[in-house]
Amino acid sequence: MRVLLVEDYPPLMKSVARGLREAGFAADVTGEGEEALWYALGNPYDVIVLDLMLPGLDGLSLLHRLRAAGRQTHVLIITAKDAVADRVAGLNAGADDYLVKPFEFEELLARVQALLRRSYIRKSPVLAVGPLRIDTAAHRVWRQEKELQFTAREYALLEYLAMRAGELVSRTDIWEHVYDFNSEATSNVVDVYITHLRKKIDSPGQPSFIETVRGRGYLIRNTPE
Amino acid sequence: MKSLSARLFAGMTGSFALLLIVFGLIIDASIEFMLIREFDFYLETVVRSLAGGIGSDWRSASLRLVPEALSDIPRVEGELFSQYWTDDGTVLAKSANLGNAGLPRFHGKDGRPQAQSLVLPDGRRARAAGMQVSIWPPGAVPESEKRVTIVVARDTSDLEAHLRQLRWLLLAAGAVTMTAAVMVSIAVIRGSLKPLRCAAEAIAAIKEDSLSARIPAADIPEEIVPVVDRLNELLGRLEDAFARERSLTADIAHELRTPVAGMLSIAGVALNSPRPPAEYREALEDVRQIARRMRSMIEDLLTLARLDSEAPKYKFVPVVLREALDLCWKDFREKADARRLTFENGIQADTRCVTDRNALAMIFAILVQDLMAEAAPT
Repeated sequence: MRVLLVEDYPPLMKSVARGLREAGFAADVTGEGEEALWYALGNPYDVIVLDLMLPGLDGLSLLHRLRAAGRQTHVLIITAKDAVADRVAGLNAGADDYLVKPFEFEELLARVQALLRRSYIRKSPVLAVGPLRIDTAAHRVWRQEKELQFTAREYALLEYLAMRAGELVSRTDIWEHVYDFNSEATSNVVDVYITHLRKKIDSPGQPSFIETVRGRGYLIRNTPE
Repeated sequence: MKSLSARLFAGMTGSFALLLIVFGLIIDASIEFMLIREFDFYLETVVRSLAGGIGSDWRSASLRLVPEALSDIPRVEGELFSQYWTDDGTVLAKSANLGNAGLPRFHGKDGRPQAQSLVLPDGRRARAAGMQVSIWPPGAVPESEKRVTIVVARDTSDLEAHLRQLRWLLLAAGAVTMTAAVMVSIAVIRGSLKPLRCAAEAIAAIKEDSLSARIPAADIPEEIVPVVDRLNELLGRLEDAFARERSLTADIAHELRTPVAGMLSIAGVALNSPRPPAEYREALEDVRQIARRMRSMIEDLLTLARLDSEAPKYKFVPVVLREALDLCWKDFREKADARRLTFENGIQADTRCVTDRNALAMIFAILVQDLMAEAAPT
């Protein structure tokens, strides 16, 4: 899942971005309001984590312009402004959630994940797709009773495909939602990770759980094994 | 006595009581004076009447004595006494009720009666009128003129009883009047101080969160209006001060919240999963950098608090301006780099000024912060 982090305080920006990436998110970061708007309008982020007090274009104005442009990306505001009026203003401007600084990183992560579930219309943090059970909160995956181990990028890819189970997911979609600007832009990087995933989740001698639709993308069928 | 109502009550009732006492004393003295005057007038009438009855061929036996000789004078309460003397003090006659005792001899001048108080032989108090009458026996030469002194006394116990009654009456009237005055004073004071009580209640109802409220001056007496106006002005200043304090507190909270969020986030991410020692070290270094910046921020806040509470104590020393600005910029470098802002110190290397180093650092920090907020990335 791809997240845009907009925060102008470098230590916080750096640590949150690192935490998000370690949690399997593709995270783009910026401390400038104008640049953040440009990123948000140009990329299909799943969640935008937005500070309000930014140099140049402030967070609320950015949010207004984002919504005015018709973007429905979920936005989590993180700010030191804790007055009720500030929260109301933020939520009324189109934010989906509001988190007051200082916060624990775990809470931020949980809220981002909750927004992601909302993006893909899921209430439970546990996804049951075919033989797989994916705990999106703990980032753990089981096939039947056996827990499978994944790298952060593999997990992110699996979670994205599972979130869109039953839908055809193009390579571009995967690229846009699982990789950030810092990822190596090689043409077959998605295919490489799909191959890694298949090795870990497929049963020997059985058809692959992740189906390739030639020239169009990939598909996880949401049917029990 | 700090209570205004108590002061007013004491003042009003005290003044009224004093006036009442003075007024009562004047009335008492006036009535006593008039009654005694009337009493004396009666005695003078009696003594004149007795004097008129002394014939030129007077003898002791022909002298009229009170009270027997009062047929032509209205009788009044109180026992009467009379006594006659010749020039040489020989008692010519005296009323029987004097017994063996006598009255003191005195008289007025020029044939006019004179009245005075005296004590009767039996110890009762009395008023008496004395008069001297000149008599020429028939065929006598002018040198043979005789003078007779007449003194008529009247027991004043009835008069004193009347005066006592009058004084009790005055006292009772005074007590009733005083009670009524006290009640009226209480009512008047309460009524007069009601606007003040209302104002006090309005002031008491004003809390920290309702400083925008003002004390209504509509029903306030004119004398109190300036006080209410000053109070309302004070409330306005308090409201402004509280607003400034809230704003400052919010600003401080904001300035502190972000670095605290940074430290929490760094620690949270570092502890989220096992990692090599170098990464822990990096996280700790980041936390230390933030803590140092917070320490600097807290010191600035303490300096501001000190400046607010006491006269600033500056230490003036020669300062190289370029170096001072470079030193200040160190705190902002990381943030500027993150925003791709460049910094160029254009101050000449040898430009110096004599100033307080800390105050100058604070000024530079504020300027740099404001410039960074407005600057566009290069």
